[in-house]
Amino acid sequence: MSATVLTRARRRFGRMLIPLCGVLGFAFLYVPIFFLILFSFNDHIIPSLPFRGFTLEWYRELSYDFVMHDALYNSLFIAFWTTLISTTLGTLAAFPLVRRSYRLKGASQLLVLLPMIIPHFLMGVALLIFFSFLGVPLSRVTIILGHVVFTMPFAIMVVSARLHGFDRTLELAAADLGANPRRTFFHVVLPIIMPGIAGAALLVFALSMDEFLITYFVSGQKGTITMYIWSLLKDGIAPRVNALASALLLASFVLLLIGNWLSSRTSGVEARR
Amino acid sequence: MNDALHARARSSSAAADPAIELRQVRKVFGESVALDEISLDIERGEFFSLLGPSGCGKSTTLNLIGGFEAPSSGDVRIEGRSVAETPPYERPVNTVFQSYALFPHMTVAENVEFGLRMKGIARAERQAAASEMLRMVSLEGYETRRPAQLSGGQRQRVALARALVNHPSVLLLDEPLGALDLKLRKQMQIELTRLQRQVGITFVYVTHDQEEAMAMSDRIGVMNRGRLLQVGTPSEIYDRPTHRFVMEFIGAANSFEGRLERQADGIGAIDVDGVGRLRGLISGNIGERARAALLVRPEKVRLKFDGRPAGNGEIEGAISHVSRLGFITHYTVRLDGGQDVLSYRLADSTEGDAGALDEGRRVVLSWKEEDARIFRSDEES
Ligand SMILES: Nc1ncnc2c1ncn2[C@@H]1O[C@H](COP(=O)(O)OP(=O)(O)OP(=O)(O)O)[C@@H](O)[C@H]1O
Ligand SMILES: [Mg+2]
Repeated sequence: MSATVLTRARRRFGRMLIPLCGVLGFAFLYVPIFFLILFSFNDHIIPSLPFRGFTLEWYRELSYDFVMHDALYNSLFIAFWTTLISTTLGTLAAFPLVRRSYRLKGASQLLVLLPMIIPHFLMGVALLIFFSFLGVPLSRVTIILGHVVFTMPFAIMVVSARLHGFDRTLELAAADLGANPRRTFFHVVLPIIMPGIAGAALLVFALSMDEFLITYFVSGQKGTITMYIWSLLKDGIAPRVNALASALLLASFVLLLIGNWLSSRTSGVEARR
Repeated sequence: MNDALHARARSSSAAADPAIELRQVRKVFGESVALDEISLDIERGEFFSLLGPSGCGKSTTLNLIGGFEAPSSGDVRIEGRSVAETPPYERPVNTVFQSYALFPHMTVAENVEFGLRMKGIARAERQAAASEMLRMVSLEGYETRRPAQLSGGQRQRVALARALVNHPSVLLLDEPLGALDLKLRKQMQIELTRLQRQVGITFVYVTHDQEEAMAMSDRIGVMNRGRLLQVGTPSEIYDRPTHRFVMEFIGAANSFEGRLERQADGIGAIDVDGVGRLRGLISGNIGERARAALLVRPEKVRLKFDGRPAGNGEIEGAISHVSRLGFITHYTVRLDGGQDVLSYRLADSTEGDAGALDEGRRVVLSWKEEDARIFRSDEES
């Protein structure tokens, strides 16, 4: 009899185990972020417990912080151009990588994705040496170039995935109906792979906004938002950082929602096939 | 005046030109020969079917006409004009693809209008044409749906409307009914033939279903292994096949192997071990004493259940299996030599002796010698 009680208890524990792991997992992911946000509203100069009361002081401080505004503008400027260049080049590169057959295709597909696993520290050093070797002055342009180098593999990967699933008889059908190659591209191919391109753009934008190491090595006078946060942290943890991070988090969250919405439209197209 | 005369001569000759001409067309993919010296004329307004087993080159033939592939050698002509240099988007042909290939990001109406839009037709005009065409394929009211929201049969009809709205000289259809279930398929066969009569456009229809080809076509081209074996009306193909492959691919056939002995008037006889001498019409050139095969369709094989074989082509066996399929009954007769022969009889013709023609019963088989055909035995295709 005690055996059945035991097995029943064990079974109940088994049923609980998976939800429990889930809760712990989410806690691990989100508790730090929760405290980050919490302390951005904490009325004390040192972001630590106990909670002393609610304030918007740190956000107000941010709104006066012109250095931060400059850094944010730089980051957005860099992310914009990086996104434009990386997504365009990545899309163009994805076509031959997926569709053409040529010697060393496998090797080239591997090589093109390799930068994803090169440590940013190494890449930053390499780019710095490269730029000084060429005598290129460090500026926002060199940051953009650095960002293009590390984000393009991601763009290629996302667009390639979309192209792999592309039914090429659709192109034959367009040609059959009188569309020349250019019109086939703009009327049929581009609209269908658009969700993939948009997804790539979102990813590249987020990666660029986030980047620190490469940026650190190849930046000139003008710093980015990540560098600015880094400089703040050198003087100890300030609640302003929490406020800034929370604001950026909100922005990322909005981007994520947009991306999600786009990809749900993506799967709609898939189902139609 | 001279010019006018020339123009008239040209246009009248153009009107007489076949819709499609293939001249010794070959298509090679690497080492393998997909099409071997195909020559074929398809007349204007014709419902022409290309029939053959999987991989025989039917789609390749359509692709050459549509311009999606270029021939390795030979010439393709559309209405008398060689189209060797013409890309697909400038050819006066449209295609219904096996997978339909509807544009998933466009509505039904946008799909149908696509061809007209590429031609630069004004919006109002192409909307009118599209809805007219959708009415023709009984899809009015579906304009704003997306292809994903349609059933297989509806998609098929959108594909058809999208092609036909351009009024092509020739419509190419690559197994358009392949994805449909049997009932819908039969229904679409009827609708397609009706539609073809109505619009008067030349249809080149690819299928591997011989019944479908027989039911729909004015003429059929039977293909095997990249070769075009025979072109003819359904009854020509069925009753007077020129190749063993054609006879066996279209309908059922009993076959006997033996050596040919030539007799008068194109009639030959072959000696079949353990069966006897069988007579039939000789097809093609076969050398005396060469190995040959005699084929005869089951419905041409007569059954007699009394008496002895009279010798002149009659053979004897015992019924080994009977399947009654309603209006028709299939008898399998095991000859004394061990070979099975099929014989079909209309059910009511067996009424008097239905009980008598049961399994185990000994019967005598015979056929008219002009109903059997003798082909070369080494003939592969
Ligand atoms: N792009 C290609 N590259 C290499 N071989 C090909 C190509 N297209 C077709 N083939 C070959 O050519 C032959 C004919 O192919 P095709 O597609 O015309 O056959 P099919 O008669 O349409 O068959 P199915 O009924 O299966 O569609 C096949 O052996 C096929 O493998
Ligand atoms: Mg095919």
